[in-house]
Amino acid sequence: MKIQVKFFVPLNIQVGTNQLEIELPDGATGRDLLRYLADRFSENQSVRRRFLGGRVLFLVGKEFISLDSPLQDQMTLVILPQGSCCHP
Amino acid sequence: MKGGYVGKILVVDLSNNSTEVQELPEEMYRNFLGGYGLGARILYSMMKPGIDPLGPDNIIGFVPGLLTGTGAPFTGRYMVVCKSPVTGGWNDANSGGFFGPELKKAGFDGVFIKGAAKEPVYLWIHDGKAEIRSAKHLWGLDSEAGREALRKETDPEAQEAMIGPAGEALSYMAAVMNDKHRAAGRGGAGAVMGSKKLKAVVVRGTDEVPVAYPERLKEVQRALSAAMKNSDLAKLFHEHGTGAFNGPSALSGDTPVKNWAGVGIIDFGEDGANAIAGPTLDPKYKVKPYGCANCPLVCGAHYEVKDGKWIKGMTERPEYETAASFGTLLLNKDAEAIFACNDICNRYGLDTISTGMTIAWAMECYEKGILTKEELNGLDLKWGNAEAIVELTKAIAEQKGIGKVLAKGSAKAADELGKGHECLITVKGIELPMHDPRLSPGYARTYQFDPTPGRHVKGGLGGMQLLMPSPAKYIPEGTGFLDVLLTTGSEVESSAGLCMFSGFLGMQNLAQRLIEAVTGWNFKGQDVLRTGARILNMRHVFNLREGFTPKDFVIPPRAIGVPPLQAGPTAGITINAQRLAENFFHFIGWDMETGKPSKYSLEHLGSMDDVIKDLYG
Repeated sequence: MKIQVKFFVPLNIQVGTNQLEIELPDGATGRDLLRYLADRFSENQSVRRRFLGGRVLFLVGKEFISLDSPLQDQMTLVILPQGSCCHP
Repeated sequence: MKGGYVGKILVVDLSNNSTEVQELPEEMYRNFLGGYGLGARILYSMMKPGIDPLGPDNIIGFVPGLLTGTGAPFTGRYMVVCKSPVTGGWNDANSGGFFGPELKKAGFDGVFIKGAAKEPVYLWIHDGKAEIRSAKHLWGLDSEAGREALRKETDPEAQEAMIGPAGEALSYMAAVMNDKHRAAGRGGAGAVMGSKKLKAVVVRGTDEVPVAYPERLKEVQRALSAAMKNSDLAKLFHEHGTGAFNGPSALSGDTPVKNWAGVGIIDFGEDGANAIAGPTLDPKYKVKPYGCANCPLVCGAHYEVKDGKWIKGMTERPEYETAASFGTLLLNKDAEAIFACNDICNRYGLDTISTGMTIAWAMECYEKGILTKEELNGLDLKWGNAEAIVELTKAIAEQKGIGKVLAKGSAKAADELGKGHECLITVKGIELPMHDPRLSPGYARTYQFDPTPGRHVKGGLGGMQLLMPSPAKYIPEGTGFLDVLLTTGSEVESSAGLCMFSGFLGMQNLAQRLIEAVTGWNFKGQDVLRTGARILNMRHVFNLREGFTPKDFVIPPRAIGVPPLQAGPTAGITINAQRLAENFFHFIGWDMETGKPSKYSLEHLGSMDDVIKDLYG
């Protein structure tokens, strides 16, 4: 399946792109996506740790979905970095 | 070997125009470091309980951190200490910039000012000398014009801690300003200066602050530089400052929305979160970065608004707390309106958190029909009305119409107007800051029971929990030890003068290593715990001596999910604040009913003999 992934600011700066189309096996979950992204951006250690540690939120439309949710073909997923001004 | 401190404080009595230099023993620094640790120890001894915070018996102290002025990285900070007119209890407020190091280089580890002048004055301290000078001609000047005027008549390189018109008019939200736009903002310290007719403390110093082991300090500096080069997050913060995470915080449940009753993704939206995000704004407005003294991170920035509705020209990039207080909290997506409110607050010397929160309270009251348009200077104070938000900020700054009432803060405004108490988000009268305990439950304990309630910069579990997954962080069992550990660590970092952002680089035991290098002391992990606990207790017993008990500190139900939000990432969450507090009190050794530290724990901490006598006879 193919999904559209949008990286919410400032994650887009860290990964160097606003959006990606990603192909994953059918039945893949959010965690599988994060493992894929950790590999894809493995040169950036803080980004890799963020993905592997699950320190992100998944937004679909106006709903937040669990990182363990199964992903759907053609879905658009916004990934927000979890953190704050004091604890990035 | 002595290092880090100069061993002297200046005590000024404005009632009789006197100044006195007092020497402090090394033991004082070992036990309380500097900053608010030293400030709490000194104010507990010098000040009587029960005094009027806006009367001459209040004492206000300006105290750099122990490491401030030594060149140690991340240590440009000083703290203002006094009794708060807002809470009626202990107050400390922390600021960066260049004032703190300059005061140390001028020969003092702190300046403590009592009494009140009959007419406006400022204190001019230069290389160990102090003069009280007339400030009649400076009264009414804002923080920018005031700084220029003070530098003109003292020294072009002087640094100042001053009040703007808000402090002069005794606004309970008045901040102490330095570097034009840095603020020791919280708790109404600016009003305390105003009540003493003290416009400014101006300092210039050229002495070196001693460092015990300069080579060890350089070693830490080299390690920090290497860590900086490899830190993606440090680069992000250098570029975009605390606003780097404005966007995600607005949606994640970190930033409170619509006076703590809304949900980011529903009420503010992705478009709103993007509109106020630092990385969205910087390409358009950022002119150049600025940093505090000895800071390798450099997280501030000057903005320029070329043809704005409210600002035309230079201003400062709002910090996260400001962008959240005047943005997400009010459903205001107009970034230039946020800049305008920030600019007004900086010039008049107002705390941006309390000002934004007070407007949020007024907005909710207006939307619910508790306050009318006529009562609100004719403003249509609907959620997100940028024009009305800027106008009301001006009215508060100038204390015009309803602004005179709101300048006292939301809790006192509700009391004065006799309504709207159900919309207050305050603890002990002070407005909560912009991190929501429903996402990071540890903030509930910190906001409720730090001796300065309602602060996000005090230690505890909250910050760490932002990065923790659910549901583990919501389990209220066994939190006490870690809560105490993180809180005492924060007490040491702050009193040493370290910026909390020094932790971004992930260097283990940074405060401890810097304290050892600068002072030459043997300062290990157990010293951090014991010293931090001593400082925390000192601030806490100041409040007990005022007659407070834990029952006086009530967290607003809305802030802990009573009732819970119905949507968003923190939907259905209710925090067990009582249990978090009990866990913390148990480990720090405080009685949950009376708040009293056990005699044993005070004896164990040491240097608290007068406190033990006051509490136990």
